[in-house]
Amino acid sequence: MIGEDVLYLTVAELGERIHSRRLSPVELTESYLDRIRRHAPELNAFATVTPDLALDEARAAEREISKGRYRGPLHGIPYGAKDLLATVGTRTTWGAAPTRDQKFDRDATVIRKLREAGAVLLGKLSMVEFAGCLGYRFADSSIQGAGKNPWDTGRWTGGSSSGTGAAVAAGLVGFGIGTETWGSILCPSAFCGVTGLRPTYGRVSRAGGMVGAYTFDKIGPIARSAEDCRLVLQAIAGPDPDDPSASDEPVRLDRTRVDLSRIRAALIPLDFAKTKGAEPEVKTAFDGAVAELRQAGLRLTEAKLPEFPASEVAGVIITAEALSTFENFYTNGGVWKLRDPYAPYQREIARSFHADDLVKAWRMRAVLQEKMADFFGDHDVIVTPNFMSIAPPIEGDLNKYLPYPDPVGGVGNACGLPSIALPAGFGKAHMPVGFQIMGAPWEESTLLGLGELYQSRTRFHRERPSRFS
Amino acid sequence: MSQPERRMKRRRFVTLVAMSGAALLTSSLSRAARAAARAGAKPAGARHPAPSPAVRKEIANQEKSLADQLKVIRGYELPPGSPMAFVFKPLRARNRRQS
Repeated sequence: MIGEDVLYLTVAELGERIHSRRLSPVELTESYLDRIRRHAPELNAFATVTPDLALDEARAAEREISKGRYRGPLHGIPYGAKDLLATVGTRTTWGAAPTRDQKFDRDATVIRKLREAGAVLLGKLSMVEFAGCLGYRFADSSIQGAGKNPWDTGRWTGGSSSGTGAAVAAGLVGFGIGTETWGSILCPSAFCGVTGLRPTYGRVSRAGGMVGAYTFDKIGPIARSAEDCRLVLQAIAGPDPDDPSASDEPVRLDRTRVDLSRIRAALIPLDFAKTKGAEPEVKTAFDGAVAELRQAGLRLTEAKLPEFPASEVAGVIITAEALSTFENFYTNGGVWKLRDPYAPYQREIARSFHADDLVKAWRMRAVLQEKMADFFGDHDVIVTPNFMSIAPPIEGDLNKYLPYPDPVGGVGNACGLPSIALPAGFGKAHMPVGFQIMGAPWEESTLLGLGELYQSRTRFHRERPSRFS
Repeated sequence: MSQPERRMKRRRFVTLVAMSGAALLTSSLSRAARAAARAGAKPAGARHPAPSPAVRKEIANQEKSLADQLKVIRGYELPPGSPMAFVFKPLRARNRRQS
């Protein structure tokens, strides 16, 4: 079996070895499967493992590569996908009891694109039920159980892409696919010490993916480096006739060195001292990341986001969209099977919600977009903390441990902005902490370039949890 | 942080923030209340019992959170006819079918 040192390599490094035939995709897949067998259960990382499919795909990749037909950097790379992406022949649970045996007869577009790129599907990764879109208060709000953090299995992975964060951090997959409505890529990336990219809304087709909130859901990679996120995004981005929201905006992700002299970075600091639940160790790590970027030559100027109730706008629209998309489970009683004790009451809670409130929120969203378009006239990217504390314990009320607001997340998700989550060191109890760089729509390449630059000067993304090393 | 955001109570955020959530969930809840709520889960089609006082209290908290959020939305002034954040597009007719 291949050892951890190889299994923890980045996609770029694995791909180079596969391309030069120094690494067998079949052996690599067998080794990941062995590691999944040994470690995935203690992390609740996988909803379904697909060993037969994985080995078939790995053998096919090996055959092609041996004949000189190399498809590209993902060819022969094993990965896992959040269990809300449809896969033919495998159940797609959405993490929820009412849909635990659900099967689809067509692969999600992202799954198809990754197969066409030659990637090897190891299985479906655990997630919070319905991606948390009907709310949840406890880490175990998933039929797969609580997402356990590889850095400390007594702590949560973050959600809702819980299994994706855990599997990447524990070296169970080469990379993972997650989704974000609000926070679901950035949160597990921060808590698990991995690199995640939330693409621009519409950058990646959502066909075949569970709808949580129609105008907020994004699909993106969680991986071991910014370079890996670039490689994966390159494979999955682009228009799709099966998803009208998938944009035909050109995908220009070819690796080019970022020209720092042309980038105007806005530093959006958060007030750790006055924010309940914020931890000074996280601020120290963030300050270190800022210093590193400055040393690299990035011009950072402190700035403020536009004054606007972005979080309220996002919250109201997500509530309305989620209640509509999951309407069937209210009418057929399925919602009573969910693990979150309050999900069944969300429709009742929303009684005070009027139709014109939703339209008003939509109109306000347009104002916010204009304000952010102006903001990005003066700044190219936003550098700001990600989560203000380390991963909370598995047990107990998550609200108690994460009591602080997320103004940047509210703006970013309401406006469909891309953001990259980068590991920035460690906080209390040697748990990972991170920061984010957010950009204007379709500017993923700049974010990835800055991430690659930062990671060329730091080693945090190379750190591995000792228990799995 | 903006003024409206500063006004937001912490509980309103957490689910949204950490969990990509939509449910605007709120304050702390005892294990007993949680267990009671779960015990109330019924299979599809069955009548579900009335929520316990603890669950009812939490629901009230969440209702208040949503009301606070709606107050901000309703209090924000926009000129009549300001644009929406999405554009409705008429759908062309399908290609004429052969009869």
